[in-house]
Amino acid sequence: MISFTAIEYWGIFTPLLLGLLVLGGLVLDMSLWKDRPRSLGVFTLAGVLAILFLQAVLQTFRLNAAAQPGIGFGGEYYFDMFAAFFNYIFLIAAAVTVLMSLTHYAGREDHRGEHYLLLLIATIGMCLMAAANDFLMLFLGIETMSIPVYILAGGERRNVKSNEASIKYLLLGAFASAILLYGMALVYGATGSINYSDIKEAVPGIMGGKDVALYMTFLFGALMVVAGLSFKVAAVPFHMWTPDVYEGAPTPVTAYMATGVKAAAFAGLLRLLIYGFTPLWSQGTLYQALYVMAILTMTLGNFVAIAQKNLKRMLAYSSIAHAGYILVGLTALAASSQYARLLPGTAGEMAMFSRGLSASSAVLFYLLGYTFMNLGAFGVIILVGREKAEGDTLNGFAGLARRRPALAAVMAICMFSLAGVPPFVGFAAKFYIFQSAISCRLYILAIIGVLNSVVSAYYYLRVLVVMYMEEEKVPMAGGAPLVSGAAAANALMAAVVVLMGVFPQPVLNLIDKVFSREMMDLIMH
Amino acid sequence: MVELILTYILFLPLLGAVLVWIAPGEKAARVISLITMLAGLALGLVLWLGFDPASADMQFAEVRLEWFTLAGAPIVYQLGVDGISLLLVELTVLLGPVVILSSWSAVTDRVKEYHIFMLILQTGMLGALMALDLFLFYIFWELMLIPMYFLIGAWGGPRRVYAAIKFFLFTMAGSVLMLLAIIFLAYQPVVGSGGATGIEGFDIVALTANLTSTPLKGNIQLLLFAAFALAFAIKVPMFPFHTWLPDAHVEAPTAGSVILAGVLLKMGTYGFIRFAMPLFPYAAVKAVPVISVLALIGIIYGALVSMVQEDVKKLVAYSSVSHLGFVMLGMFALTSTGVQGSLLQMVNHGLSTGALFLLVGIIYERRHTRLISEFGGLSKVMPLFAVFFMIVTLSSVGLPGLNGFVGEFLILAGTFTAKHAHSKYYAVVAATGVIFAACYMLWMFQRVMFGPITKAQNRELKDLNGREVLYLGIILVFIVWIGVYPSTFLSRSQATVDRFIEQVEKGRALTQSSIDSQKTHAEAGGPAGRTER
Repeated sequence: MISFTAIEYWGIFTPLLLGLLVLGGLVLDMSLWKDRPRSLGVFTLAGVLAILFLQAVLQTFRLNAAAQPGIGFGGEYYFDMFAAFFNYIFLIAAAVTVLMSLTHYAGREDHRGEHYLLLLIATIGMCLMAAANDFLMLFLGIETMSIPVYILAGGERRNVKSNEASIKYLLLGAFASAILLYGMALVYGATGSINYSDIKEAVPGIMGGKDVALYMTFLFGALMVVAGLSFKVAAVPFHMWTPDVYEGAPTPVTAYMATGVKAAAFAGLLRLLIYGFTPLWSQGTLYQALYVMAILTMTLGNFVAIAQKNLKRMLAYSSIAHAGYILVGLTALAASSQYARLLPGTAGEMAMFSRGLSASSAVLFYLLGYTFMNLGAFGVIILVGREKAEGDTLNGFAGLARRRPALAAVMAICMFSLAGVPPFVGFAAKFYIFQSAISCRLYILAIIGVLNSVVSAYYYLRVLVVMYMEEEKVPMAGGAPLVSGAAAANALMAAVVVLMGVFPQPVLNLIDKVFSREMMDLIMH
Repeated sequence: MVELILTYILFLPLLGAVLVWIAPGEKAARVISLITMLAGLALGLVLWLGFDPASADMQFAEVRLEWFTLAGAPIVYQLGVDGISLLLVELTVLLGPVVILSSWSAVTDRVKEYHIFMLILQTGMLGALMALDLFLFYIFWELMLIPMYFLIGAWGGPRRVYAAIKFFLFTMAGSVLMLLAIIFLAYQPVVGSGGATGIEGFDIVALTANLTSTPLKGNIQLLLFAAFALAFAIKVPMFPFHTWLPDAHVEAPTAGSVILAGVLLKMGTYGFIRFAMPLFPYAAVKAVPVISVLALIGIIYGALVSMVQEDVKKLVAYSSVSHLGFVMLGMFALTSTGVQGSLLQMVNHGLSTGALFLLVGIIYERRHTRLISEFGGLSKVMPLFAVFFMIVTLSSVGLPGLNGFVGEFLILAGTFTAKHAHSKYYAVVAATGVIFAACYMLWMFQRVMFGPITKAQNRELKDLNGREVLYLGIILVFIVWIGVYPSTFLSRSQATVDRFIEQVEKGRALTQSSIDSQKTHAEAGGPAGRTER
């Protein structure tokens, strides 16, 4: 008989409720309702929003009162503000994706109820990833997330591209999982544990010891784990699947991959770096790997995006580029360890801590902001796609500002934000990321980063050019007015992108709580 | 009320934009915009009257709102004007109603959006001029790009898309490096009183004071100055970063060109005098030869290129490169006369070139061409237009009694008496630019206005109407006022300029002495001053 402690119940609160929602949905799907997929979608949406609300309420009452985070399930599962913060991102992304799916699939014969249930299961996997404190949980989370997404990518059964996306994602995803697992095995072999805290304790001995083979085994394994996660993040050189999968998958699923899946992978990576591989920061190899990956990811993503005519493909490369900016933050995190050596004693630790803190906070802020602006952009693509042929190409967007000024305005806000122009959230996020890079003396990286955002402005602006400065090329198909949930969600995303850019303080306060004293202790001891 | 006046001036256009958005029709949109701009002008008058010319400090800067804190640095909403920004703020609010009036009949497509962008642009420009926080400044600095991008791209000429993107990318490429420099600067550690350590922060007044009394190390100053200067030089634009300007000017709608020439370009020169020079005084003095030579090239090159233009608007655009060269030269003379002249010339250029663009716009609206060869003998059919055009042309050429002369004279005199090497040669070369200006402007005027009427269409052209006389008249009043009695304006900025020069000199001397002492103690290895940087 397995018995859970109270803290474990609290910890798995969000994924547990999501699981119950899936079960409820299964029962509903079998009952004989008219227009079943649609009802199921609405049910899912209500459920996710309720969970989001419940989490917010319980968080406020519980976690603020008891500062002690909960470690449960034999140290596998770490439920703290970090996990909670990412749960917010996942739940928001899931809710908006459900709304978008309802619009995207409305009236189509490939609208299936499974779509929503798979989406929920993937969200469960994400929650597990953000809370994982050992390799087993991390891997479970990744697979629970990925397998439903493989299926979701092939959701448009009669669309060849969708099928291709599904197969491609599955094959390359399996490949990445293998790399990840192999890395985990090597780390386990070297350290004797799969638990982050144990690894962290074992690493200094390995690094300081005389056994070079053991050290190399560990290092190689650690880099392979990072590489496996980089695949999900879509960092160069592990990005090859991204454009085809993003273009082929149904647009709501693409949106979900670009926001939820990416955030989950970064959550896993960040947690691993902070809680497990901390001693590796000062070693150099990891830092160099992140550094090179950041530069390649930003540059390749932005330059290739310029050549794209398909908006989903362009946003795929743009999402690669944004992974690069986030990697700049992770590089800064690793680079903060130099201060422990540069300055003596506590001063060095304090300097390292404050810089590491601002780098991690910047990553969190970026991910949240990026989620909103990307969901907004994909939402517009879906709505335009409903009304026109070629709705996901630049041609389809031509002259949109005259026909649908509000929709064009939402897209414009998201594009400016993605390009990092104030006063939108993309600017505040980039500012924070580059601030952390500069405070860790990563000047070259920061310069490459900002120049990249100039390059990115070119292709984001081109969307505005076709919307505002060209005449309509593809006629509107349907004349139905755009009062749907997805339109409302779009307006909301645009509003958040503006508000979070102009008033970032509430979000910054929330992130401050994520990395509290408790994280300081973890890093320093 | 008076404490909040800058906030009112700043957000009034934004409020106007919201009202235009919900306004029922096109006519209402125009009227609301005009009323908003006029109200802004009225507030500007209150500001002018309330300004104390004797003080060199930031005025009306009582409001301080903590906006948010990023990585330990508070970002504060704080506005203020001193002698330097006052003139430019007044210029901005003056041009506001003028541009709305000028687009009354010229803009007929998507009128609402047009006015919304105009009003947002006004807020952006005023914010950049009045911000006392570097972060806030940067926000407004970039915010100006968005409406201008749309104004050029959606209401511009045939090559508008190319011009709009070029404008956006050039400006952004310059400013991102400045952003990094701002971050680097703001998060510099600083040892306060009692050994407490902090960071420099974003407060412009405090930063300027700090960096004057304890300047950064010389080579760091040079790097940061380069990053700031690049952003501002692109905006001015200085040779060789000027290539976006002719495109943007020619393709932009008339009102866009007026704002671009009148205020947006001044953001570059303002940036130099507000940030790049006082924050990095040593580097600023080191950069005098480079900037001066580039300014001279700009003066001569701009004038020569203007001379061969076939399109009146393009001619005026290139003349901007030449005029802004004067502004830069005077500013880097680092004498009271030179800087004062350069400040006045910023306003002059805004008025004269703005008026020229308006006049070109008027003729374009009637004839739908701007080619010089298409005109000739216009003075016979449009006598009133010819009078206005002539006065503005002469003001741009620098005829004594009109505004251009005062500015150019002060700049040349200031450069001639400057302390740095070769300053006399700079002044001599620049003076030839004045002659060139007379050549291209008067030649253009002659070809357009005098001689026989060669094209039949030109016989039917209507002369100026009341609205056009009104907004040109407003500008004309100031063109003559500055030309006859510039003290009204110069006295407002004198105290601030004097202190500016004092600050730069003091900062430069301190940096130089710390560099010298470091050289002498090089072997001793004693870290002098702020080696932590």
